Amino acid sequence: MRRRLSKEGEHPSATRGTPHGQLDTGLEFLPLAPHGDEGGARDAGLRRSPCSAAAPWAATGRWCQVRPDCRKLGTEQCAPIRLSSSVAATGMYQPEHFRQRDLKQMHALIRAHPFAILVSAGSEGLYATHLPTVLKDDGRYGLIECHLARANPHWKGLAAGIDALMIFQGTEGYITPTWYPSKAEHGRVVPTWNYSVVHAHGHPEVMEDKHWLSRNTAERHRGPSPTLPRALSRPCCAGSSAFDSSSNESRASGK
Amino acid sequence: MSQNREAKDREGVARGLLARGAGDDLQMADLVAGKFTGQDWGPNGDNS
Repeated sequence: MRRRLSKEGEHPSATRGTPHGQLDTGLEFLPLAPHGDEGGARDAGLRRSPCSAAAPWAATGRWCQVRPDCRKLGTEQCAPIRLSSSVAATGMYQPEHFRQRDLKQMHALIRAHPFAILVSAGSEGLYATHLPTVLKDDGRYGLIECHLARANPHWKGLAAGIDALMIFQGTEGYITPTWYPSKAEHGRVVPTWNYSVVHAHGHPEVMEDKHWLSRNTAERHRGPSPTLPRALSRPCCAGSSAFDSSSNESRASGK
Repeated sequence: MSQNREAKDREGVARGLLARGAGDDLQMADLVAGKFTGQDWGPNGDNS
């Protein structure tokens, strides 16, 4: 079951503990993992159980995801997979006339520029990882998949259920005011820099299943993205961690 | 892209980008020009 997000303008902290977060873009972004979807849980090899009382979202009656048999998968470490319902505020200077509200345009930018910056603030402090991504048409707003080296401590913070921000940088370039006809008229023009960017905000879900990694990430990189490093085309990524990031919130600007 | 500029300035930007043709210029020119054809990356999704 999915619920509507809170109304525009409401501070995200006001929604903490509720199933979904706030968008001030006017878009609805809902967590995309199959909350409460028992069939989906079975398909993914997951066991669902009611959240413990210690979980902040327990009162909402949502389900936690627990992967009970990860030891069978041969991974070095088993990490519980959880879906957090809290949404933290993300900052982005976004004048109204630069704001993009079209989800298709956002997805087009993500797919055209899949090499993203993943940012989160956890026990390791503020951390950023640069990595290729795959946007899947999963749910109403899409699902971003990617993986990072297991040696990268960033994934451990993500496994703890913290919020994360993914930044997709599109086209950009210097704009000289000499291109403005209005410069000759009044001269009140200044140079600027045009750019397009999408910020995707959500709760990463660490995947410890190597088969999932092979099936969902490496395979997708192999075909349609010839510009990606060959190393990413390997069918399995031993020593890597992978995760989904359900998009609770996205913001986009282009100027 | 240049949504804060009046139409003639946006057209000037698109022309300038096409003429310069460096980096992302051609793609960005399309985006700026797209504002005038409804295929844009414009504000509010309404090509305003």
